[in-house]
Amino acid sequence: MRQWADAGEVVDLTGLVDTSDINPALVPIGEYKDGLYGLFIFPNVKSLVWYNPKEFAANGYEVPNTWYELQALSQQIVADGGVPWSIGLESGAASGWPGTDWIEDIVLRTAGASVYDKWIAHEIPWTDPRIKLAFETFGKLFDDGYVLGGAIGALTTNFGDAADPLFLDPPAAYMQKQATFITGFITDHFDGLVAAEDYDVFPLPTITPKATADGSIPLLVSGDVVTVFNNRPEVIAFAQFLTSETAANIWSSELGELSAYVNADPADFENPITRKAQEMLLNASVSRYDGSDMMPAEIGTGAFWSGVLDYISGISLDTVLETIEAAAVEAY
Amino acid sequence: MGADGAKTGGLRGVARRVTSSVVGRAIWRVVGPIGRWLRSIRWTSWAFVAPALLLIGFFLVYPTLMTIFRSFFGRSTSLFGAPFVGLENWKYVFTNDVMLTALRNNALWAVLFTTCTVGFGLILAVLLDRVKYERIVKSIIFIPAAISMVGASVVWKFVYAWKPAYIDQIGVLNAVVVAFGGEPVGWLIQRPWVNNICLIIVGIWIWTGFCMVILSAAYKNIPKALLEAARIDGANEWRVFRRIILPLLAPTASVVATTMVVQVLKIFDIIFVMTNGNYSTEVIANRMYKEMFNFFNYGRASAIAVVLLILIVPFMIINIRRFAAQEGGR
Repeated sequence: MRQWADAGEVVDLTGLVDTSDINPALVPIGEYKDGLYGLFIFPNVKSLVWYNPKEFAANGYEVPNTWYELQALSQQIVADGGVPWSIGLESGAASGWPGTDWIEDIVLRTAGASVYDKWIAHEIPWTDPRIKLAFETFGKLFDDGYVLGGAIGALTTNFGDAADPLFLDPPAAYMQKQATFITGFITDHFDGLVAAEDYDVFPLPTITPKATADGSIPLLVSGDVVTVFNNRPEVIAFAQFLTSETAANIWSSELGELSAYVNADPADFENPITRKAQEMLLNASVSRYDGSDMMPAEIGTGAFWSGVLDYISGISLDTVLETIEAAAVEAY
Repeated sequence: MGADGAKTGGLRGVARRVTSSVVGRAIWRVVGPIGRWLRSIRWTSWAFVAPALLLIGFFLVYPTLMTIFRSFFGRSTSLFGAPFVGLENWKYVFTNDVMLTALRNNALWAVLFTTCTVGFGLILAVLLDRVKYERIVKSIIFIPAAISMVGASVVWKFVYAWKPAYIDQIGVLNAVVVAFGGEPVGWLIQRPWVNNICLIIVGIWIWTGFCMVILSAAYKNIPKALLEAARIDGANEWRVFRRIILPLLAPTASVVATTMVVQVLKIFDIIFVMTNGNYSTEVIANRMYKEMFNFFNYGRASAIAVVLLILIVPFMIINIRRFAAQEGGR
């Protein structure tokens, strides 16, 4: 979207579309260089950790609220003979993107949203110690042996299959971080699972509480942004309609997706997990759009994805970051 | 008009006076040769070839020239309007780490893939000739050449699949390894040689049948009398193979080898589906695809495409020379 805005291909919507119906936390995502170019209407929450509540209850595990508690939980699971995390990085030609989601979530939670924004705009280099720390935090999960199958397991497991170990008998892993759309994969692979009873979510906990101004959990979101290419009255009118309550209701009630409508009522959602995600969306004070989608394509779909794969498969972190930085210098 | 009406009368008279004047003779000195040249062209032959020439010109020559032209420009989101960057894209192609890995991998493919496909094809062609069930075996070996490269890549992706040691292996290779008591191996992850060789094996599996069929046809063309005479004279099988069969198959083998090298230089499907160039398996064609369609860097993609073209040209020249020699020998 930003590259198109630079090239002048998309219409600046300031003054043309009234954004008062959109969740205020989501509006800035469509803004770029003093213009409004995108309407973020179809959101997807990514900072969710999926788990099996029955297994948690059976083993006496509790949902962690801080990173420290999460690490303690992981140690407890290992002590009990299990493996805490299932991570799936493989995705055909797009392999590596789940890893980039992890690192973006960690950056939000360790360095904060303003550093995140600078990182995406390449105002700080990839070799910055804060970005390096985020990579290392992710890599530490593998070093500590908390990931199912280790590095090779993560690299060869498809993201859609990564939730399966949670529901085996006995479970091969206990947690998986993934966005709301993984629900479809879970219900596809296993029959008869009930939301909130057999599978549930909790937000990825804060790591450094001071990373957000009020200590709340930052939210990583992604989704579909509507841009307008032709400044014609009917096109603008349709874009305006997409932001309205009616459209949001169709989107959420008939399709079961999250709503960007500012006054969306979580109680309208039947699926308890969607309801939880919607509440997070409404209450989040800090939310940011998926970083790799915001960066230029050479980085976001190229160097960053393969950088994560290289790092997890054993290449030294400094080499990986320098490679991405070299590509970023050319791309921005 | 004048007294001798036959020569000076009417249009013919005017024409004669014009052409025989000084100006007329000068003009005819220029127009004459042109006219003779125009008459010497075989218009009907050209008329038959013209449609094909036009199509090739428009769909091959023009894009090639445009690609070479575009390789000197930078990136932009639209097809035109990119800034001129001179040799920067070319510098990238030959100095960037990923591109060097890609070039190295293509060289590895060229060496291993070509020798194995032609080699196995040759051995199979010669051996199967002596066997009763030749047709069945040849059909089975040829079948992979008939399926799409993408389909074959998906199948082999499953063969190389990895699961943790305590779960049942779904990949054939790892199932065998585990059955013999080993740890499952990440075949497509191990760099730099294991995963590349695994990918090359897929290519060999697909194309050996093709080489075998062509070499088999050429082998059957060798007069049996020659081979029998050699055997009667006391040559053992290896001698017969090396001294008689190989030299007689050499022209066909070189054509097949050239085809295989051209295949390898543009290999794309196998790498794209199985690893997408990650873990040091990148190849030139995959890089070109990424630069063009993922990053919208048309300039760089064009530079890579031209490099591909330059690499293929020597083999095309060899092929054409051989073809001309064959035609000339008729």
